[in-house]
Amino acid sequence: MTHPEELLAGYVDGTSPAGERAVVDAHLAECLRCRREVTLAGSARSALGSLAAMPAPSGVAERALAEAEGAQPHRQAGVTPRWYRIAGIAAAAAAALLVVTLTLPHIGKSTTSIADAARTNEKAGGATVPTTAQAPGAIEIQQVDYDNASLSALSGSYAGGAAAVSTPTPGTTMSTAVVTGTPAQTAKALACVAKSAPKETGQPTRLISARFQGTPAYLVVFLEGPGAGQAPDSVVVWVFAAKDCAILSFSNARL
Amino acid sequence: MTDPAEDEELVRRFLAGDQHAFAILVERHQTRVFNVSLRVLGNPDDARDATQDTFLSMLRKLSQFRGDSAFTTWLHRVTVNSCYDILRKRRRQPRLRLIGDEDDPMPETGPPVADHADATVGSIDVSRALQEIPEEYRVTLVLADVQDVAYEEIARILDVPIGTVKSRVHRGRIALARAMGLDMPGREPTSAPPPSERES
Repeated sequence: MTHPEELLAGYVDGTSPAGERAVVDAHLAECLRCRREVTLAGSARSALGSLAAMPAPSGVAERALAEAEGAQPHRQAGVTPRWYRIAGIAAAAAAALLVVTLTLPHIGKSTTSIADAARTNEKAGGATVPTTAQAPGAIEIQQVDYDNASLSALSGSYAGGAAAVSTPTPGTTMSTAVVTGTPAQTAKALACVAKSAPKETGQPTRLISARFQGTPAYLVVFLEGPGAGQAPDSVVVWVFAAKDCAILSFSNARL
Repeated sequence: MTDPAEDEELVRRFLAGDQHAFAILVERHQTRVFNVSLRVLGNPDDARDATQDTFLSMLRKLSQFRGDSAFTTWLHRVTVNSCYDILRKRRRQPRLRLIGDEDDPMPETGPPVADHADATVGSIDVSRALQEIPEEYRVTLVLADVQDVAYEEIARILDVPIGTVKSRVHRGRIALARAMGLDMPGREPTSAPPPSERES
């Protein structure tokens, strides 16, 4: 008896067209061996489907990224990786993290003090600046034109990079006013997340409506971790064009 | 959820000199590359090396990407080649076996390939069983049943006829089930074949 081996794979996972399924059904009615194999194959497929996706380790593409930026791709032995140094700064500055998040909407304002930022927030309607642990509430409307440098500062600030936040980016801030968007604006930003964000990124923790290099954009903050109930260990900020949700940029940092 | 057109636009931007576009491509695909490598190679350290090699190859060969196939097809091919390189290195450097290892046909060099908090003994078993089946079956199964890549695309990734892909998937599933101890000789299946999971 000839066994329709090539047809059994699609039969088991349901991708076979109806005609092929009929052929296989007729064969299975007479073939004990293939019936057993179909049962075994179905069990194996179910087992493979139970394997959860694992997050990629931090820095897994560090060498390629460094090479892409024209930097020296091969680190000297004993030299501490850059992100370890950033993490060290983050640990030292952990106590200042809350203060740092208060300044986030004001990235690029060269002369804004932390106190000024807090007062401006209050004046702008008391919009609550999310902390890193919060789920996203209403979208923040920022009159800020980000670029890659200020975007890096935004993600770096979650890691406690106070120095990055205080580094001015002249000319990017159109206004320091921060207001909360409408539910419709929030929904539109979340639709962009659903359309364009990589599926592994999970749920966003902060939504910002601003500009990116002059283009109206949504900045969406995700906290990522190793899973298994462990705390997030990195932050990723994706930038989507408000018009068509196209990805404009992203930045990430260790928490 | 990754949009192929966006991948190609990012490739175009990178080739035009936008280095940040490369970083975006990495961020979009590193989880996929790492997981293919992890399931093919069986331990996180080798998977990390393969992922790193994949992105270095991607950087160096991106100018050769013509867009004849989807970017993910091309990237999967680069990933699989990186995994095969590591598997070849393993064969050249046979691991020293200690007395008592005979009971453990594929001990892992790193921590168990556990999954998330809901990981079960079963999911670890399937990870280990996967390492016991032939490489060509394992690679094809990982693409088909872990990554849900269509048979036609797998054929393009592996550069083999689609009939070969289907045969490898079927034989691979049987081999995996047997490696997991699911084969019960003489036992007639009492239930109907499993219902369709991916209706066409």
